[in-house]
Amino acid sequence: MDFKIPFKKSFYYVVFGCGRLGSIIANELSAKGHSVVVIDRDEASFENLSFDFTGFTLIGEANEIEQMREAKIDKAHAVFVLTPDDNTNIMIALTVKKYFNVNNIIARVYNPKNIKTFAKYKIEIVCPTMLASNRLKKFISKGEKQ
Amino acid sequence: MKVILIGGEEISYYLGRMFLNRGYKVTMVNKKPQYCKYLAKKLKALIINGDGTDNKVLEQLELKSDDVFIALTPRDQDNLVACLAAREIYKIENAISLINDPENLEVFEKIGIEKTVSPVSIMAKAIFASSTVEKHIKSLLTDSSDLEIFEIDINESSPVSRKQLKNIEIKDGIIGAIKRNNSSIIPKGDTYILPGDKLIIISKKEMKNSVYNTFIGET
Repeated sequence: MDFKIPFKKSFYYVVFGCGRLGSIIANELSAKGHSVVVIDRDEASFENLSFDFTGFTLIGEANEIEQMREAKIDKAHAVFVLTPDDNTNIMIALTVKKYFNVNNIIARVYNPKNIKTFAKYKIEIVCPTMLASNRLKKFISKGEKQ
Repeated sequence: MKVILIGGEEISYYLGRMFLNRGYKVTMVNKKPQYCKYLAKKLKALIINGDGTDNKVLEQLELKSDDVFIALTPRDQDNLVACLAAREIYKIENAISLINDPENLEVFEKIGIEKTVSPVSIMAKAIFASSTVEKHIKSLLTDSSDLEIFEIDINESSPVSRKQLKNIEIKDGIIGAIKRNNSSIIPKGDTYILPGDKLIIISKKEMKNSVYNTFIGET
């Protein structure tokens, strides 16, 4: 994995999805002193953010281009695509990359079958299913050796 | 060649019915079991219950590169993913996507799905054409093959209002007459166009749009 996202003070990051994962990442970025905008369609999801969160929140459908313009996505140094829906994440990531020409993107993908799609467009991914299954496979092979 | 319809309710039913009536083989995929039952009762198409963006479902469709693949779901992201799979995995050239949010027309094009239909933008175009342009323009001769004669109402906001004819550039067209206060003027270069005038314009048919823009402004 030769992919690196620049993290510097005063850099600007956009996080799509403010669920369990999105809120953790947004809190972390904010705690480190970065500018952050979090987008989620559910206003209640912003309750996941910590009291110290200094970024901005936007309510709206994450894959709406109007919403992305409002978030000034073209100025983002990196974009985290963390909604719970693979197809939504694919569309957001491709829109950010192809329409707004922002290249630093990490997307979450649940279905391992979708990893190929992201790879084709050179979009970095995190796949919880693969992470968990790899870890579990290690447990299994460890147990077999004993 | 077969026609594959992914998702959508009424729209997939009507399209499916149309293709069947024209003698095509039609396969329809829908997430909702209830709607699949309805489709199966009404249409002689192959109905598959499942998510048309899921590869496991697409694998069952025996897709061939000369099939026509149409994604009709109410979510643009699902249409995008389905069409990408059709294009990339099954090499289907005719992968067509319904676009719900007209702003996504450009997004899809940039991503590489060029065959798209946006009902909203088609409706919007039709509405604007009938309300802003047609209101000001009356076509006087339509049976000629390449000539257009029409009457345009000039109001204060027209780009040519209060201008002299010699200062107006019209490509492939002339102002034949001006109707003003119940009389007609055959205009010369120094004639001014005034709000309230009706202009009789003769132009080549293909220049119609540029004539509209000259006299009514961008619509």
